[in-house]
This record gives sequence, C-alpha cells and structure tokens, in this order.
Amino acid sequence: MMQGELRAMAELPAELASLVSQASEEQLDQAADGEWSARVILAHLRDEEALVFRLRLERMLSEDKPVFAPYPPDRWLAERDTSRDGLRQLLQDFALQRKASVTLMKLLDEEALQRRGIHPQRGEFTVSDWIRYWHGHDEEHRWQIKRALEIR
Amino acid sequence: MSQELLKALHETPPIVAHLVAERDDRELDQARAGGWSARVIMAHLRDDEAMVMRMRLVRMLTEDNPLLPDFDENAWAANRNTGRDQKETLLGDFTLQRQASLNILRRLDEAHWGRQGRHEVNGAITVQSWVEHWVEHDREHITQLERALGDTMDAVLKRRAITYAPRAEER
Repeated sequence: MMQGELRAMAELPAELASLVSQASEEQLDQAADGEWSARVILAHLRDEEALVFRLRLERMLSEDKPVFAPYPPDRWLAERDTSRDGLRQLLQDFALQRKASVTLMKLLDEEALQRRGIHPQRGEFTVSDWIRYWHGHDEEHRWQIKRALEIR
Repeated sequence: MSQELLKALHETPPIVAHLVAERDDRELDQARAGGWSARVIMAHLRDDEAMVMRMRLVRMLTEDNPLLPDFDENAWAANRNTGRDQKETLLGDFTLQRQASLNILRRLDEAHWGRQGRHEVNGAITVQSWVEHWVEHDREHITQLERALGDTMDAVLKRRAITYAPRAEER
C-alpha cells in the first residue's frame, strides 16, 4: 500500500540534511533569477507539510469530499514566518512535521486511500492520488535545492 | 497568557504516560458504564490532535474565516482505526502529533492569535479561543482517563514516589 512512496517520504528529511550539510550560509541564500534559494525551499517544505499537504489529508479523512481552499505559494512567500530560519531549525522542524505526517499515513487502510477531496482548480482526487502528488512535490524540491546549491 | 496555554498542551502527553504506565491491556480496555476505556481515550487524544484540533488551527491560519464542520465523536469511536492500538504506540503517536502541533503554535505572532473561524455548531471562534478550548479538552480527557482507570494523577505520583516536574518549555 504505497510502501515505496511512504519510505521515500520518511527518508527525505535525512536526505535533505545530507544535501545541505556542506553548504555555507551564502550558498543557502543564493538563487538564480526567478528561483528560490535552498533556505526558502526548506521553509516551503516545512510549511507546506503542515499547512497544505497534511491538512488536506486530514480533511479527506474526517470530512466527506471536502472542498479545499487554494493556498498559493506567492501568498505564503509574502506572509511566511522567518523566525526559525536557521538551517538546523528548518531541518529539525521539517523532520518533526514529516514524521507526524508519515505516522498518520501508516494508519491508512484501503478504504481510507479511496476517500476523496475537491480542489477548485485541480478537480477531484483520492487520498492515494494526493500522496503520489505529495511524493512528486518532494522530488521536485529535492532537485531544486540541489540546483540552487550548485550555482557558481 | 498564550505561553501558559502552550505549557499546558506540552504537559499532557507525560501526564497520560504516567496515568497508564502501570496498566496492562486488560485494565486499559475496561470501560466504566457508558464511558470510553482508557485505550479509546488515548486513541481519541491522538486522532483528535490531527483531525480536529490542529486541523482547525491550520485552517484558521491559511483561510479567511473558514467554516469548520462538526466532528461526530460517536461515529469516530464506532469506525476508528485500531491499527496502532498498543499502549506504547498510542503514547508515542500522541506525543509526536502534539509536538508537531506545538511546533506550529510556538511560531504564531499576535496577529495569528486573533484569526477567526466559524464552527458549524458553536459559532464564531478565534485561534485564541480555540487553543483555550484545546487545553480544556485535554483536561476533560485526563479526568475521564482517571475515572476509567479508577485512579488519580496525585495518587499515581505518590505511589510511584515521583516528584512531577515537566521539563521546561523548549525554546
């Protein structure tokens, strides 16, 4: 039952920690034109985990076909909390939020995976669709962090 | 004021752990007439943390005055997932979910505490009033747990010769 995705998602915090372990503060803040820095991507992963991904999972599990409110990344960027922007804090916060999400996912049975939600723009999807999308979002940002750190 | 609320939320998992520490599976499954067993109360605290308490908080933070649907506790109890029902697993899961909630709550600024929501049955709430309710909900279930086990936190601590001093709030 989505064991591959779950394992990869559980391992992401450790992978990110290893990816940024040698980065200087300057490298963490460097960004190509129109791109985010590694630090902003880490904060994005942490905040989306709690404010978007897990929230929608929880709503699909506790409501019948909830309709989600879009939470656009540019609104997040404008409002985002920068009080725990140190590298260790970001990694620790993300690891904790991710562990809480993975523990919820371990409780999902076949019936739960088929529960549904509706996004005003993306349409209707199931819990298993959502987890696949979530995993894809992880992968996308993992590569984005790698690219941001490699800028010379 | 908000610091006291967060401190209270921080202290609940160790209180629950102390209350059930000496209890075996049979005792955890005993229910007083019409009430929930200790195991069901522990599962309720864990599931409510994610599906009700934190979920409504996050919705008030990310949506403007969201309509928050009622959650049927009896339907939950009848259909709940029992896949992670061992005492240690329930305690670990609840502690983890609570830490994840506190990690969000500790980062709120003044403006966040005033954000609003509309509960389907109870009407207008704010993040502040919701967190106050969250602490009260903890207290009610700690009392319910004491009743289900026929014990009290004071008696447990005395019996086990523990001076209870929860760790200082992490910063």
